[in-house]
Amino acid sequence: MALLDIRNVSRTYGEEDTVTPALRDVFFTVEEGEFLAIMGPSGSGKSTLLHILGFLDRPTSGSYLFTGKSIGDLDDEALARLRNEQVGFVFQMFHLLPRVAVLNNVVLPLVYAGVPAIERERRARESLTVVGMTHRLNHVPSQLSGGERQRVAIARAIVNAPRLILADEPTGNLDAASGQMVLETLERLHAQGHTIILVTHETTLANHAERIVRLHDGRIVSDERRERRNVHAHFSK
Amino acid sequence: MRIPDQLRTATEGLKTNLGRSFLTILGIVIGVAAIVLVLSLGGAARELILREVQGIGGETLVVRPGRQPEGPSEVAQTLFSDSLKERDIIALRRKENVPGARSVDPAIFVPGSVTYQDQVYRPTIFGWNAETLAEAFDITPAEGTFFTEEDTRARAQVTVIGDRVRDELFGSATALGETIRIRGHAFRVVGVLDARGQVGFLNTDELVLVPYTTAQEKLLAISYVHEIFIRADDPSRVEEVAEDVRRTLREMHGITDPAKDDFFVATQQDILERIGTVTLALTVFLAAIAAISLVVGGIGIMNIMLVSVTERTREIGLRKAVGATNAEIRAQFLLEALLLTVTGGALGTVIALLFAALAAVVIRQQFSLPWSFQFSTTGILLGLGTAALVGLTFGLYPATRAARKDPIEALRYE
Repeated sequence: MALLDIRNVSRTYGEEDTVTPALRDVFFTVEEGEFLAIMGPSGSGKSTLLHILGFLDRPTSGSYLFTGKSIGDLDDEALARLRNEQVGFVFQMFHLLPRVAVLNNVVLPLVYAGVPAIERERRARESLTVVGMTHRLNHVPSQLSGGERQRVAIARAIVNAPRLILADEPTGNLDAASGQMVLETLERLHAQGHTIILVTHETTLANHAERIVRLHDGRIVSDERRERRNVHAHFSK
Repeated sequence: MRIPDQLRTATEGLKTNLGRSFLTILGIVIGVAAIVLVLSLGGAARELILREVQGIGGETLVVRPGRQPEGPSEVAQTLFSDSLKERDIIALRRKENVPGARSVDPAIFVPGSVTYQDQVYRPTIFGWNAETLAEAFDITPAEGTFFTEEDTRARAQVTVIGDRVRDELFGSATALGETIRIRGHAFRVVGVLDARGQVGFLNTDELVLVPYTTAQEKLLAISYVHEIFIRADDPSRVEEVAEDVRRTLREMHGITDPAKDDFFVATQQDILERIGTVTLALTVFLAAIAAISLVVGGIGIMNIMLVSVTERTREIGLRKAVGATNAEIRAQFLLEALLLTVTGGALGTVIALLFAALAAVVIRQQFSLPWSFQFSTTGILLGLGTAALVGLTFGLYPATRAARKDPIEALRYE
């Protein structure tokens, strides 16, 4: 059974005479453990698709099965719970809470999950170890470099052990070196078995994925599987 | 989300804007302080007045002519009513009519001033039985004696004066045996009262007492009395005495329908209740005015919360993305508003209590009144309660706005 199964999904904005379609009749599935890049020019609907996949938005028509269950009938509260338990978001703008220490930023999803304080701090430290950010636990985001902030954001995205990591242009605000480091972190997570969906318009970035879905004008125009790269060789340098 | 985490999230939100948060709650601080202070001072004043009135004694009843006054014009009617006559007093004094009465004394109020040589003073002139007064007010002549029943029967032109009256008219000279003029009539001073100050409504130091018969005939030329002052054997018999008095007077005046009474009986208890009601109403009225400032403070809270919600749009988006429900977002901002106002309420209550304590000290020292500092838990709870209510009322709209934000748009907000 596929982790995600999108069937005939459309998403339109506006009403009646001003309807603008963002997605048109999209079909695709993602298996557990895939590293997939969604590509396309701006306005192609890739962000809309990501929001639907991450339960931040609902399709106007069509169905979305997550682990085989339709989310169409779920209310806002149930969607919030799905985001909390099943999804980790990584944003272009990092979206860390300003003036809040690194450790407290990372525990945030666990706070909403109702995890007790001691347990969630332990898990946050674990996540920060994965992204290599244990040396700045009590710094606030403004004291960190862009790359460090994005690694903290990734730690937050994985702290709730989600089935799905959604990254929206995660290197878009970073210099080449920092971007590379963030990408390596995502690849490592993939190697550990995480399912990652990356939205980008940069081909170099997409080339790290094993599958590239291209969108144009709200439709999927290509869906190609690429040869899997040797991730470990990449990290051993 | 656990409740301690909700509290922590709200406090963190407030901490990031500490200076602004403090300024915002000033309105609440002032409003709550005003309410608590008014209630505290009002309570103290009420207690003081009631204690003073109780000085007259619980066994007291007063019969007044006319109907129970319901407004200022009816009070005036009462003063000019002539329904209570000498024969009523005689009837009331009969044991078989009012068995529980210890004393029945008419009272005459005489407007005017008294003179001695070239000194003029405007005291409270009463035609009354001096001994009853002495007992009721627990006061004795410092010099001389009271006038006697014989004086009353003979309509003697004798008087007992208060301490202050003596000072004003005679200074340090001897007053006893001197002749003063009341409304032009010569009266011999037979006694001077002990200085006792305010007792109930009456300042006994400013009294000029004459036999009531003399007051009726010589000073006012009337045949009725203004008031009949009755004391029961025992405070527990007051109601019984009141009923006997009503029955006797109805009989005397030929009244069958109690609604047509041309007199009314006021017991000490009635008076206490009336005063209690009036002072309470006054206190509540003042507190209500003070409460207006709380509305102003509440609007300030709402304003700053709306600014805060807009400023933190991206935070709201992020919190929703990591799993916050609408209810949790609403609770967070509502709790922030609540923490703001309750902190303000606590500060205001402390300030009010400090002022009330200070006022108690000043009033006791400057006015030598037995004023007490009222530290009531009701006042504190009310202060905190109204503050919380303001927080909930004015925090709800901004919090709902925060909860309704679309997460995608909120995340993109610049």
